Amino acid sequence: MRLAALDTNAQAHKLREGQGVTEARAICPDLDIIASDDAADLAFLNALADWADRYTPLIGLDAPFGKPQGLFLDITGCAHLFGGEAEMLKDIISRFDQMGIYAQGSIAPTPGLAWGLAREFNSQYALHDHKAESVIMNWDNFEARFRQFPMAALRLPLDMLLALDRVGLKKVKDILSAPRKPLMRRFGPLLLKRLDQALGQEEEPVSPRLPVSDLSLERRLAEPIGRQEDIETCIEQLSNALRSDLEKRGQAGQEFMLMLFRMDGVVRKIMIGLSAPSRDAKRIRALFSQKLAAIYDESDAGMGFETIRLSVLQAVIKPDVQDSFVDGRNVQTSMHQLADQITARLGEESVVKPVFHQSFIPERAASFMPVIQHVKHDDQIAQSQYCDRPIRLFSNPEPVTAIAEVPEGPPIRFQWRRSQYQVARAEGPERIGAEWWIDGESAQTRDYYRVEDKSGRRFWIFRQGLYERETHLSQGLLPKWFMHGLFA
Amino acid sequence: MRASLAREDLIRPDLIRKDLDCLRHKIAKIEKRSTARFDNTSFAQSVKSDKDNAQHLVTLPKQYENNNGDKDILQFDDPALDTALSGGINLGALTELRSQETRQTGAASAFTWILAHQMQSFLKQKHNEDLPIVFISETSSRLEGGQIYPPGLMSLGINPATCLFIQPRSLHDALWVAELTAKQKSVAATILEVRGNPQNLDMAGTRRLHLRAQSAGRPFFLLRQAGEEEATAARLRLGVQSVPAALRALPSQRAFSNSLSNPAFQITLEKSKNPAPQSFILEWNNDSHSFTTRSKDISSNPVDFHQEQSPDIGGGISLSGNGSDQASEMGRVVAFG
Repeated sequence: MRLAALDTNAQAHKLREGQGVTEARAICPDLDIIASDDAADLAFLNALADWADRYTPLIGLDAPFGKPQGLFLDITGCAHLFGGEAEMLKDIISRFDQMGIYAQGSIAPTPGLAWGLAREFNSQYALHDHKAESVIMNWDNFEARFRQFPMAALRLPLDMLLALDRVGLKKVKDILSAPRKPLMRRFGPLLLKRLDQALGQEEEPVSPRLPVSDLSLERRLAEPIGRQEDIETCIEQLSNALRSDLEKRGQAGQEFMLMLFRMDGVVRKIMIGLSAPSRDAKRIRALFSQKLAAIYDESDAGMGFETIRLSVLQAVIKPDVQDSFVDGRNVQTSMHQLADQITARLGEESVVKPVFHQSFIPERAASFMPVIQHVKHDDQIAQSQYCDRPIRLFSNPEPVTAIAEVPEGPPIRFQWRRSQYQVARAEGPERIGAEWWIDGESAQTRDYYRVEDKSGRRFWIFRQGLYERETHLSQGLLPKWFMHGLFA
Repeated sequence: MRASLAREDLIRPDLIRKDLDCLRHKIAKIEKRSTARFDNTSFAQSVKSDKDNAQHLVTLPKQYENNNGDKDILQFDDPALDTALSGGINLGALTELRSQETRQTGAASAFTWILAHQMQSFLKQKHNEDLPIVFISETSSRLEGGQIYPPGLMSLGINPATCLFIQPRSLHDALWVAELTAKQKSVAATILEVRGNPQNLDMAGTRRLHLRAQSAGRPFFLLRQAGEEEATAARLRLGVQSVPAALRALPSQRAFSNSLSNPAFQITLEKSKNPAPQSFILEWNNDSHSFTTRSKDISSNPVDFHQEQSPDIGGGISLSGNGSDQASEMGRVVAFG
């Protein structure tokens, strides 16, 4: 077992990452060791990222060596909303402090520089007291500090740091004005890449964790709210405000997301999809209220929600249509509204519409698709002519034991679900070849028969496998019979 | 102990049925409606007496004729059946359709879909509105009786693109959706499919659905798969069974044996104003989109492919060996030499 992470106290005892536990225990006998849990760490970091969404929609996970260790916030154009960069950073750090999380932050022109700056304190100041000074760098004042950065501040892997250390390159100033060619030859391209990224000579965009929504609107509340009705009122006000923005763009929302920022930092996300795009505030509210009715629990609100944000995840162009007073129909809830209402309560996979596919295999020829996705992918395959298909189809054909007069003929008697049936009439066969490009070459042909038993019940039965060509008596393989559907 | 035995005696269904039939018969007498009575409710007898029954029934009473104008009633264009149904199937109401066995589900669901589709096309004609059919199916009914197959709907003449399928996980959710859609005017018809006799769909549960359907003026069909007869708020309960299908007609208008053409249903009026269950056999014609009552016996002199060489067989082209100028038949005695 090796040490994966250390707190500041442990660092003060000169313990190192990657050290064996036994060795660490020898140095510091009363060491507290907690087993590392990467999944929990990631979940925590994701929750923090959700929380930080209040500052900017563009948040990236910082994972220079594969494992996420921090967050990048692209605050371009956002800082003024919080009273400037300094105020914003102070707000972030103090809120983290209130939640009991020790955080270091810095604002710098490039992600690389900010990364180094946030971690530089670790080694220099934080050891002495836990209050780290938050620093804001800009292109005017960065140079002096950057020169003093240790090599580790450049986001380099450990083996490269050791190699650099061995030749005496300990600080950034050592390589800043050094000739690039020998460095490149000796340490590979990563070192120079990191250096350029820190200096802004090479672009390094922050890749957002979640897709950034087209439009989003939020409301900060002076008094936190927790009742469902209050949340719904807020949603309606927000969607009313969104409406004018959507109208200006000539768009309507297809998917919406509601984010509820709780006082203690927990963020709740609720997403809804519409079966037809809309910007109607009442409709959006009704859908969220359906969803809230199903999942919301007022005891979950705790101290209440302080910020509510409504975002349009997906918007589509929708021409405006004049509402008319004459037509009484717009008083009624439309079909789409009904579908949305049911989807919001039961989930999208419960409200489906049929889609047709180009296949002769009956169970592949048609399937059901959620109405919401149905709207998005409106490219329907032209419905081919179907003749004599059963009204009910078993998604898994059920095996039957059948006796046929002649091997290639329809059955005269069969047993299905433990009852015997005498066939009175039969039509067929309709031969459906296997789709070898999906099922492989050993897939078998089906011969479908419509049969009617003596009391008038009609079934769709098929025999799988052709005699002699696809099945071999010598190997004990005979065609099998299956029940596939019930006719009207 | 004795009291409980006596009570069990009281609720024997056949005794109740007898009492009920007597009462209904009396009411019919007061209302001066002619009724046909069957002592035996078995299927075979009711089918046999079907034709006689039709002659006994009087024509439509006037009150129903008046109602037709403002109330939406689906008629079958068969005087006997329409009279038995008091004019037809009332479309602003809850109607229950029942299949006794799971293997009859195909017939019951097809008949229900056809009724819903009739309503859909009726609304299209009357108000020029394209309204969808909502089909709500409970999980167990889908697993036991199979999924509704959209191409199958198309072969019945129903366009599945105008239908919305709801597949709730639990019966509780299914009932919630059912109550929501029952009161919508933006729906042509709602079908709720359940399996057996769930407790939530008792008198109270079905009454809620019936009242909603009534106020919306849209039909609500309760499709009961493999269920028992149960007292519900539905005004009309039909038992649906499949009966042998029609035979395909050959170009010479003769029927062709061993063929399956228009599906046929046997409709039993299990709960209606009539004293005893009556049965009718209806055939659905895909092409004309209408029901026809079966007039002649399907086994009347069909052409048997195996025994008869007919010019009909062969898709309109007569077989070469069966033309007008045939070789004379060979004699009985063949000389061996």
